[in-house]
Amino acid sequence: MKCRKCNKKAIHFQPYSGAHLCAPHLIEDIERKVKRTIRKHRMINRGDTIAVALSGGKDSTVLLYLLHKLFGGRPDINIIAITIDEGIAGYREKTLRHAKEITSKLGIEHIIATFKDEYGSTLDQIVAKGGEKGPCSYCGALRKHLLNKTARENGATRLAVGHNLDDEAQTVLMNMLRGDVERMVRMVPSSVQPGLILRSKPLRDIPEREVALYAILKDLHVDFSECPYAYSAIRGEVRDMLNDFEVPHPGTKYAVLRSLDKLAEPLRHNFPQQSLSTCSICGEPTASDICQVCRLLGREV
Amino acid sequence: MQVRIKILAGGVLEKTIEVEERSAYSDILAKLGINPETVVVMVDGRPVPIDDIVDSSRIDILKIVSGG
Repeated sequence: MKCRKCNKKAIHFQPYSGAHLCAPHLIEDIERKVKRTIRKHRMINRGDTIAVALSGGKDSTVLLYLLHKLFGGRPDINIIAITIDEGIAGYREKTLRHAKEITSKLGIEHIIATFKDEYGSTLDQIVAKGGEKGPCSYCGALRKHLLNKTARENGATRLAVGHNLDDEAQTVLMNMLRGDVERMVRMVPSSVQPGLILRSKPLRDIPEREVALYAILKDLHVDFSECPYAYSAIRGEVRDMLNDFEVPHPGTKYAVLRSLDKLAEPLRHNFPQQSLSTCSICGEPTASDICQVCRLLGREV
Repeated sequence: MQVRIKILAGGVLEKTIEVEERSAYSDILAKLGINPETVVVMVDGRPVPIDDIVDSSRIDILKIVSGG
């Protein structure tokens, strides 16, 4: 198989475009798409301090590498990395090591915040106590909360997260399957809210496979191990369903994401963003009196 | 032809399977019940297009599940 652009040996086939690409042209294609996404959604502006949520997995590692490559030379843009250590034995130690490796290699300031320090217990301890919700409910809420707080305290104006096309298409479908249109519309952030750092997803147009290929081709040391708690998530079922549909119908994941983009704009007026106040316990932004994290941790007595 | 397959997914699983001449890598994945969207196929440490004809007796299949 020859590369569509240069006739050299192809290393990748894109079923959704019909193109075969060699390594340099796949890299070029991915970087072009990421730049286009950033421009289209105005994800990065002059004077921004971008905090990259860096787990050390493939997506966030590729995101950090790419943002550093595309914007690292800009004097008016500052990039920092934040890793949340939830305390997941046998998993997070490894990815944390990778996170430290990439930030020191690129010379990027790296901040590590832990559940233990912030909430007094690791995720493993919280799960062991046997809460009423699954591990992912605790982890997701607590991690988001701590990421936002750490980004804000370190002067970030943007929080970049590594969600890829597969992640986004799955989330759209999950919201639809739950009938939660409001949450779906909120996937495309509109306005800045006090205390909340605006999140952006520069990899949203890159299929998961291509993010992995980019990491492999750029020799980024990531391991592809899965969180031990991931098994309990309903996301896995939606992921399988989408993948089973994508193969006979290439381009489905892009179609799902484009549907979101087309729906979000007109529907935004039907679902105005709630104005936020501050949690009466922890002081973080929340739509109600007590935030979700304080409720999950049973802090309200 | 016989192809030695190494599946890397956290641990390593090795098996040898019989593959018909002029099969593509995607045919091997179908035989193993692996969705091509979830893996990268590598030969000698380099990725290969999924629709390419198998011309190696050893291939690696790397599972690329999301960590997060």
